[in-house]
Amino acid sequence: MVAVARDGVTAVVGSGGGGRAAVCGIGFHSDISLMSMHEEEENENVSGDIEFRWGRKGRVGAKNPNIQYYESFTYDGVEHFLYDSVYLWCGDQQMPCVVKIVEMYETPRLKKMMKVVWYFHPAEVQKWLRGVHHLNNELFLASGEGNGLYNFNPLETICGKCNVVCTSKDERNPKASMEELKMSDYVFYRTFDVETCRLSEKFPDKIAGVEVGHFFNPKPKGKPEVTGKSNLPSKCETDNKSTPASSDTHHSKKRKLQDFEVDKKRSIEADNQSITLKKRPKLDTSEWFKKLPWEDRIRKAHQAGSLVLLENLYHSFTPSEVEETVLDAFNIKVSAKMIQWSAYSSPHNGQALVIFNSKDEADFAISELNTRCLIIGGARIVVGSRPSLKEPGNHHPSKYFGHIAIDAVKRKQLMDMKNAVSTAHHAQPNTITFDMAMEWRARQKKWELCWDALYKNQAEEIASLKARLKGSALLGKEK
Amino acid sequence: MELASCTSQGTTKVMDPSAEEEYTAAEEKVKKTIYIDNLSPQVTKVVLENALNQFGNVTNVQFIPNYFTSCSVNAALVEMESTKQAEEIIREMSDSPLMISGMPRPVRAQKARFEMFDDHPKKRQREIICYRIFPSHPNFEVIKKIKNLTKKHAAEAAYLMELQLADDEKLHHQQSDTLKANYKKYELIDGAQADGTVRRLVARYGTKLNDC
Repeated sequence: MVAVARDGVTAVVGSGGGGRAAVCGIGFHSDISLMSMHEEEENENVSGDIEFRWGRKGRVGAKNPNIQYYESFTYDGVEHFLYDSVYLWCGDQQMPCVVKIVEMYETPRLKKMMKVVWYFHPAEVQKWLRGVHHLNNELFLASGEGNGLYNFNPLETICGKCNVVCTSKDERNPKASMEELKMSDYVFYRTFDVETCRLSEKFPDKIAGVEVGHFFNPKPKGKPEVTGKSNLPSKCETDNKSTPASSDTHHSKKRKLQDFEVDKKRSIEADNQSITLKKRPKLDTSEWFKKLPWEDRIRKAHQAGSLVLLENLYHSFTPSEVEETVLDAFNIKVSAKMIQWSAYSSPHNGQALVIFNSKDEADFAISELNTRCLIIGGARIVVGSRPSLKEPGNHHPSKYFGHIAIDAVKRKQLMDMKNAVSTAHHAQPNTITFDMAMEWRARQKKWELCWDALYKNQAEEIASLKARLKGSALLGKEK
Repeated sequence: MELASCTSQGTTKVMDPSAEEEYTAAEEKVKKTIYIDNLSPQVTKVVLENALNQFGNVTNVQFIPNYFTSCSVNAALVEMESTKQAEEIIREMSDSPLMISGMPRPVRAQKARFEMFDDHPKKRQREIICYRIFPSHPNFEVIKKIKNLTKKHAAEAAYLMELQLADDEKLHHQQSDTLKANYKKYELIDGAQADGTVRRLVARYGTKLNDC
């Protein structure tokens, strides 16, 4: 029998009732890494630091009635249910493991544990696959008897929920919908028997003592529809459109998100009634959805034509201030990113990239800014335009001069002029390198002066124009 | 007067204490950070970290993204363990040039400023009043001129950047040529030494050979 080894975790040949498990995990608290005999105090500590709460109680242990089983728990604000699939951090492996929680309980010593059944990544069982084809995001459910089937782990090793969908054609398995498949992190339709080390498409009646039905997809319940009452759900939609992850309709959101939304809606409606002059309530609907990194969002918006460059802002603006300004001025909700000030930026011109929700809105804003004027703080006149962005695919590196390499340098005399090395190098004053570096330095200084002069000049031009503005009521102090 | 005032945000100029704390914390962070530019596009986070770890402890590296076609600056914000380390590095770098990932162009370091960061907290509870001015307003023309001026200034800046790049290129080629010429000279000397020409010449002219 070949044991399936998982680093840092010893599989327990369990005999029911609270087996001991080696800890695999970087846990959230340094104390966790040494789960030894004297842990009561430390356990108290952990639950004090990060919010933890048990959910509904289940049965008590058959052999040891001091063990209390539960059906769910909330850890750090996230609720995990029995038979959820989650990510588990396994020590020094780069990829977290995926497991299914089949039991969750608290020991008499107040240790919070769970029994998990493993899903194998194809890479982990490569040796026994022998060329069998598998999908990229496929997992194999552990089955059979023996090492590597299940483990007892402390709850703190969980590092996130995982959406695993079963695509098995077994008649006991409810078929997954297209949307569920799209949203899944992994799929599985085969089991890997840890005893015989063989893949199979057949599912036994029980795995690790648990009814196989719990491993299949959950029976479909009626999904509550989110009726759009106030303007808020529509805003959710528009935000929705800008993220491809939820590019399907907003009806097929994940269940937990729906519940969350229904609650939020009620509290927000109350806020909406209040006057806008008061401090704006924190309705950041865009945070409800997983956001792409800025690079991608900007590119997408640029392609869609909904990216606008706002100029002449204050450099000390924050993105939220920009968003609020746009909201006030045009009543449009947007996402903004300030362009970071660089050594060559104009001190008078703070820039921000603003992602609107559609091309029309962007057009509207730009035309408004052109025909009418938006003045911020009485001193900065905002200019809007469509920026010309760098082509991302076109990866010819931006021009950089100054790094010189010589071929065939094997000469001792020329030890200074090595080929471009990937380390840093301080030049000594008596080398050619030093002289050349000094030349560059001199250039840099010269250009610095040029830029300073340019901006000084520009400042004067701006000032002279502003002086022509009549009516001091319009101009506040330059902040 | 057709002046449409859109909003007025909270007029309190005093920040609430938690925001105040956030702000001072951010200020500290800025003091510990170095703005480095003149970097080669091949420099990665790891390289930068290693390079600066010689002088202290790097706690964070953040590259400044370049979105626009007209901008070709490669810069990064490197946060050090303490303000002292940051200041020392900046001083060192201005005394002796540091080159990263290639020679001989040295990198340039200066103190970071608040505005260089992506995620700085609000400076103070700012009063943002925005006005919409309609064409009949007496200042409309001047305002239009100011807007055009912005565009003109942006174009000027872009042009200056181009000039700078061209200048960089020139220096690069110049240095490259000089270097090649020097290299040839050394090669020549080397070759001459290796094949005994030098020895023969020394014998011919009756001079001594200084071993270098």
